Amino acid sequence: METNPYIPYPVTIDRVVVENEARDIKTFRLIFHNAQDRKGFDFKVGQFAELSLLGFGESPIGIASSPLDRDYVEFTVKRYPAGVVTNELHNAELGRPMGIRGPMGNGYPIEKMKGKNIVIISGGFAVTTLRAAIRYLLHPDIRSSVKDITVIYGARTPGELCYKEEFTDWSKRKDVAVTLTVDNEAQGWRGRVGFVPTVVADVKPSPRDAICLICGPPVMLKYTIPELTKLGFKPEDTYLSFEMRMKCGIGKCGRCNIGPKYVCIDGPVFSLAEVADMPAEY
Amino acid sequence: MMTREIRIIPLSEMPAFVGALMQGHKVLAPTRNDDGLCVFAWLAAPEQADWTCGIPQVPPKQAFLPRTEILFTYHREKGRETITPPPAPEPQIALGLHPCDVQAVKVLDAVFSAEPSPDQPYLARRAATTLIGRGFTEQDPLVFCRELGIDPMDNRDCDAFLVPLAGGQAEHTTSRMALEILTDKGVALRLAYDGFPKAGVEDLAAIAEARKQSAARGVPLLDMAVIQRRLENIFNSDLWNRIHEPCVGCGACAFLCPTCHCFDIQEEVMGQDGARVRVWDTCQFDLFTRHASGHNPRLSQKERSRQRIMHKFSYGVGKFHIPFCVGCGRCIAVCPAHNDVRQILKEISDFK
Amino acid sequence: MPKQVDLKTIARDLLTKGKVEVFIGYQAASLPLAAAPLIIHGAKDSVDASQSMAPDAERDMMARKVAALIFDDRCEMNLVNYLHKFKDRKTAVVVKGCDSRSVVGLLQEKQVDRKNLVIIGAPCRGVVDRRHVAKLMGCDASREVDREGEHFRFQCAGSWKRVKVADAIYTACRECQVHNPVIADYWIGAPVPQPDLPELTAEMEALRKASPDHRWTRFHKEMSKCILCYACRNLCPACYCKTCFADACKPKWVGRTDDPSDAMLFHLQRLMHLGGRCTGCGACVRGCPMNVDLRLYNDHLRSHVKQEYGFMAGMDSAVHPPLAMYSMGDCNEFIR
Repeated sequence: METNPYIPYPVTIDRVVVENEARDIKTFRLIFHNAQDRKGFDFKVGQFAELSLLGFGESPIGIASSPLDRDYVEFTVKRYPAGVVTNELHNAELGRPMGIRGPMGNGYPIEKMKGKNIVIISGGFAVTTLRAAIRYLLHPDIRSSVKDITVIYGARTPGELCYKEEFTDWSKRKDVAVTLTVDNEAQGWRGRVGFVPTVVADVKPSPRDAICLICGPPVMLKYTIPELTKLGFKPEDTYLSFEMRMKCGIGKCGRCNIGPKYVCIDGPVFSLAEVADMPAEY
Repeated sequence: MMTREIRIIPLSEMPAFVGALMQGHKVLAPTRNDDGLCVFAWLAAPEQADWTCGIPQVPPKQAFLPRTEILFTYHREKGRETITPPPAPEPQIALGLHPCDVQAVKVLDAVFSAEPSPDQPYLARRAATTLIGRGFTEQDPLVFCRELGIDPMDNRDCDAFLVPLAGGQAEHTTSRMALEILTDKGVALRLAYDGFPKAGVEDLAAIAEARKQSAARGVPLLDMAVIQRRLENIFNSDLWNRIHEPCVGCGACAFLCPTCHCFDIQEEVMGQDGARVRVWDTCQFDLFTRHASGHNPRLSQKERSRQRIMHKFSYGVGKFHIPFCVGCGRCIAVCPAHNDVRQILKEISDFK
Repeated sequence: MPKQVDLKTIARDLLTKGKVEVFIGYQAASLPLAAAPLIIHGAKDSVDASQSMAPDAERDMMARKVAALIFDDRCEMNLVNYLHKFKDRKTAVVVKGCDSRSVVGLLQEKQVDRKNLVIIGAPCRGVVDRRHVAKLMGCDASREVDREGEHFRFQCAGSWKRVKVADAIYTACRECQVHNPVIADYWIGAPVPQPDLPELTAEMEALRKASPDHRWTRFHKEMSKCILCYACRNLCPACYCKTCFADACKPKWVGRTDDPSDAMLFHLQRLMHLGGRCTGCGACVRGCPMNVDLRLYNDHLRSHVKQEYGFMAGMDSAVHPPLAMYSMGDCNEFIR
């Protein structure tokens, strides 16, 4: 008999990092109660999971750690005033027991990315699963499987950039080209100033033999995608990840479809070529 | 499907048969409630099963997807949480299903058994269920199942099937039921039917004649293949600007649809104990797709009405090769705005 | 006294001369004894949906729809509910006596602008309760029904049955105190006489006298039928909150399980929100797919509001509803 897919793996909150100045984005490190559950939770970069808080509900969140971070999984969660689960999670103390169900969704096209140049573009809080991708690709065992890695990441203010320490470290590395940008001049900020689309046009990442992963708020996507097209990135080689209201996460409850595609099982990652065939209902 | 055997049960003996089924099974069957409304409900007594009902307004869906289903229960203490899976479902019988309601179970089966994650709570309940269908010689004017290729005398996908037979002079009144045993699950009901006589040569002829007449009746007016093809191209069409206008956005059509299966997962908490439950939900509600951020991809009734039609007649067919509508006509009967799905389909079919 | 006009003529006039953008009336439904809303867009609809339509085709469609307009005892829906959909557009709506009180309610609560409204009043003797007819005849509701003078006639289990039309109207209509619209720009029929009715119906008297146990049992039984589809709420012109308490998730006031307590909580809260506002149009009862008898509870509430405040909702747009204001004469025995 099949196992009940609605029962979460038991986990404990092991570490919490406040990511931004507004203090509404936090990264939670979760440890599995049973070590074999972590093995069962065999995920790919770009997948997501349902975070479960008994008495409050579940929330689908992209996995922010790398599959090679073998002892734990991490999720970066933004608190919304209307979000029941995200609020409770933000109030949680270390050691709080909770659950996770997953992994869910398709993830980024890791196989296709092998041997290619990788361009990663992100804005604000949407960077989470791309952070997982960068961590994964920069792992010593993996780095050589792809060619150049270019990262462009922006936020409204320096205080809103997530994973600051990691990005600072990556900026110093020779095997990845990182460009950080903020929307406006800010005290103490020595990086670029400008919106992501402008910076993309400026940095001009090469579309040659490249796969592009892009995640950001709708307005960033709206203006960045035309820039990528201008640079010559092919729709079938450019991938983005969708967010939707979800409940089951396994293609049954019927709410996350965009046309005939279910974001929870057919996505959340789609190429721009696939998106072009979908109705604009997202 | 090979018929294992056929027994003849006089209508007057049906309570005895139903009573025997109730030994060891929960039985869901058409009954009349205090308002005189036909509904599928769990029987408390065999006499409650009502054989004069056409298609009951409440579908048999609750046997497979209860309005409230406990996915698991839990107990919370500081620093410790325990989860208990629900008990295994009891053996149950869904009795007297119109062939269109049987087809609806096939729709649910398709969705809930689909990979990558088959729905174990559903499948467990389904495995514990014996399906006894029932043929109909008369067609309720709201039922349009023939348009969807469903013959009201078809016994496919049933474990057993009742064929109403007229007796003697009163040709219009059903006086006996022929019980066709079709599967091992059907044979397992032997104790309940063993006392009834086997069908004779005349009975077999009457059953064959009823099937022949049913098959000869009713030419479909709508071409579902045309509708499905058209739907693939009209997502952005003006057509949808009008279709939704009478709709008030309630959930009557979806909750009483035998195939609508969308659900919400909610918490029911009492102190330290609680349950995670699944409850019926519908794409007609604003909350269904509204993100915590406030963004809603299906912002108005237009998008929600379109989703309902697309899911039933396009997405379902594309994914599972089976329309998510069985033509039972319940949504037509209960829509408070009398927004008739047959007219919507006709509009789509005629749309240039 | 508003001018008496012909329904189709006035609809055509209003739509073609651009006096309204939308006309909301009735058409025959696909079910016997039922009418469906018919929403007609005029040539000058500022938010016209079918912009791609050729002007000729659009005129044809409008003419066809105008020709399909009806008003008779099948027209049960309260069309005032649709005014929320067409806010800020010039709209004409056909209203019965009861429905007209909903318009007054919306004017009082500033939900509609009188300047944007053309009210087509339809004097009414009551509308037919399709399910009641079926019950009287002992057959399912969807059969073809013939009308023979003052009787309905249909075939049921091999024989013809007859039911008097007057016996077939809704309970709310039998108890209706406002057969003629209280507000209208035009009338599409002559006023009908208003029968004398007792202050409290026998049913209400009995309910008031019944023991708490008896009332609880009855309430529990009614609420157990509810499947929380929210048809009652969505059909109610007075239920227009942008986010209903039932849809709030933080906190979640109401669950959606089959435990009757969820339905009870939903209906009790909704009833309280409608205290002094419900006009008794019966839209919620007619639209309920499970035959939950909400009428009884709304009637109960209305009878108390009338008794305590001498107020009938939706009669006069210049008067403030009692629960939206305070006066020294208000009953206050409950304050201790």
